[in-house]
Amino acid sequence: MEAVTLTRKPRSPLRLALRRLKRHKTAMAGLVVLVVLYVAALFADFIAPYSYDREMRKNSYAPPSKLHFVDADGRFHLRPFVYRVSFAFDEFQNRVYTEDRTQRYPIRFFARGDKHKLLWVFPTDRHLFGVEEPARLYLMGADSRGRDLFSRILYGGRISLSVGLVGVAVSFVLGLTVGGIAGYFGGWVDGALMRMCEMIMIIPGFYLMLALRAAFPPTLPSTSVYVMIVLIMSFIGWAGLARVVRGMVLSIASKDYVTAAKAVGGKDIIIIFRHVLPNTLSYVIVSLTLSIPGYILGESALSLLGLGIQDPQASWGNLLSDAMHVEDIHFHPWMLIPGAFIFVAVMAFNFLGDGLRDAFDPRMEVGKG
Amino acid sequence: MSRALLEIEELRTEFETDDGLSVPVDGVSFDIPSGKTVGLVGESGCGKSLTALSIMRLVPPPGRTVSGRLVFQRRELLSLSERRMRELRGKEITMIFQEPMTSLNPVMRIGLQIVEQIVLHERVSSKEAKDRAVDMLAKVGIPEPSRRFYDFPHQMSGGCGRGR
Repeated sequence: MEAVTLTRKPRSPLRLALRRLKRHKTAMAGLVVLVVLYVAALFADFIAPYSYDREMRKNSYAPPSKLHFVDADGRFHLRPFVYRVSFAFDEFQNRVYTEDRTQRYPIRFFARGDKHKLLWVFPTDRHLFGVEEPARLYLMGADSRGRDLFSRILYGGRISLSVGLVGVAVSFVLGLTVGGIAGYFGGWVDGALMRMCEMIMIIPGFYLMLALRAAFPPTLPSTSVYVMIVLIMSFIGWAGLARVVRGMVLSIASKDYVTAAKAVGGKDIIIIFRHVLPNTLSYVIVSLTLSIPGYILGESALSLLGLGIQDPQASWGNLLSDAMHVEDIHFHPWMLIPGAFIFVAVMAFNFLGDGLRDAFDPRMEVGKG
Repeated sequence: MSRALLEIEELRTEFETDDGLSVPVDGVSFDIPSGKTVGLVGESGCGKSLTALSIMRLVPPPGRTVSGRLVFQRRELLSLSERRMRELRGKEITMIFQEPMTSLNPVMRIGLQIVEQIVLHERVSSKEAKDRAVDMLAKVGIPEPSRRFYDFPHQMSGGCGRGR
C-alpha cells in the first residue's frame, strides 16, 4: 500500500518550482536568450573578430559589411565573402563607402587575429571567424574610429551583464541579513534597521547614484569605476529587499517550526539562516531576477552620461552614447544596435522573473492544471 | 525539597496589547513528579499551550511571564540566563508540537532537522548523527528510513499515512 510513495525521489520545493518553470514558455525563451548573451560575453574575445580597441581610422563609420555569395564575374561561392571598402565624400561631405570588387576576402573560421586570452587564461590568437587584412568584417558596422561595433558589443556585454549579477549578489547578502535580523529580533533592532533602510529609500535612486559618483574623482581607471558602479547601485538596491524580507521574517518567525527549533535549543543566528531565511527564498529569487534589469539600466545610464565606463573600454551604455545625436542615427543608424541588446537583455530578465514568480506560486498549479 | 521533577507555582504570563492586558496563564500551580505522566486538559484557548511555552520560556512577544516559580530539578528556570536555558532546551526539557506539519521546516530535509537537534547538544560526527537520525525514523515506524531521511516535509503527509 506504500509502494507508490516509496519509489518517489525526494523533491525539494526548489526543484518542484524549477519543473513548473520548464513548462513556462516565455520564461524559458528569456532564459535561452540570457544564456546566449552571457556565453557570448564570457567568450567575447574568442567570438569577436577583433579586439575592442582595434582601430582603423580609414573605416570611420563604415556600414555593416555586406556578405556576398556571388562574385563580380557572377560565380557562386559556398563560403560567404566580403570586399574591402573605402570611402569618398559626396557633395554634402558625407562619407560614401564603395566596395573594391577585384579581390574577394572569404570569411574563415578559427581565423588568426588579435592576441587575447581565452577565459582570461589561455593565450591564443584564434577567433571564431574573421577575414584577412586589409579587408575588415563589420557585422554591425563600425564606430567613428573604425572599431568593429559587434566586437565592442560583445566586450561591452561583459560589463553590462555582469553588473547586474554582482550587484544582485551584494544586495542579496545585505538584504537577507539585515531583513532577517530586523524581522527576527524585532523591537529596537528592527526599528533602527528599518529607519536606516528608509533613509536610503527616501532618496531618488538615480540622483543618489549621481551624488555618490560625484564623490569620487572623475578620472579613475575603468576597473575601479566598474567596482564603484556596482557598489553604488547595490547600496541603493538592498534596502527595498531588506524591508520585504523583514516583513516575511516577521510572519515566519511565529511559525511552529521556528518555535520548535528554539524548543530543542537552537541558537538564534542559526535559526535565522537555517530555518527562517530559506523560507523567503522563493520571493527573494523572483525579486532579485526582476531587479537585475535595474542594474543593467543604471550602468547604461551612468555610462551614457559619461560617468561610468570610459572609452576605449566598452559597455552597452557608453556604446549607446555614440548614438545620442539625431545625425548619428540618421547617417549611421547601426550605432543604435547596443540599445537593442539592452532592450533584449532587460526583456529576457523580466520574462524569466515573471516565469519564476508563477513557478514559485503554488496556487498557479490549480488554475493551469 | 520535594521529589517533583518540575514544580510550577503561581505561574502568570501576560500579554500587553493595544486592547489592554490579557492574562492567559493566571496563577497556575502543579507538580510533575519524577517518572510520571501528567496530562493537562482543557477547552481550546484556555492556555494549555501557553503554559507549556511559559515553562520553556518561549512565550512569543509581547507576552511575558511576570511572576511565579518554575523549579526544574532544583533549578529555578525563570532566573536562568538565556544561554543556560538554551542548553537545557532539547536536552533535558522539550516540547512536542500538536501539528506535525507546521512544526517541520518545509524547505529542509526531515533527516537534517533531526540531525540538527542531535549536534546541538552532543559532540558527535556528522556521520554518527545521521545514523542516529535514521535510527530514530525507524523507531517511530517509518518504512525505509534511510531513504526517507532525504524527504521533505510535504512528502511525509502521504507517506506517514496519518501525518496530517
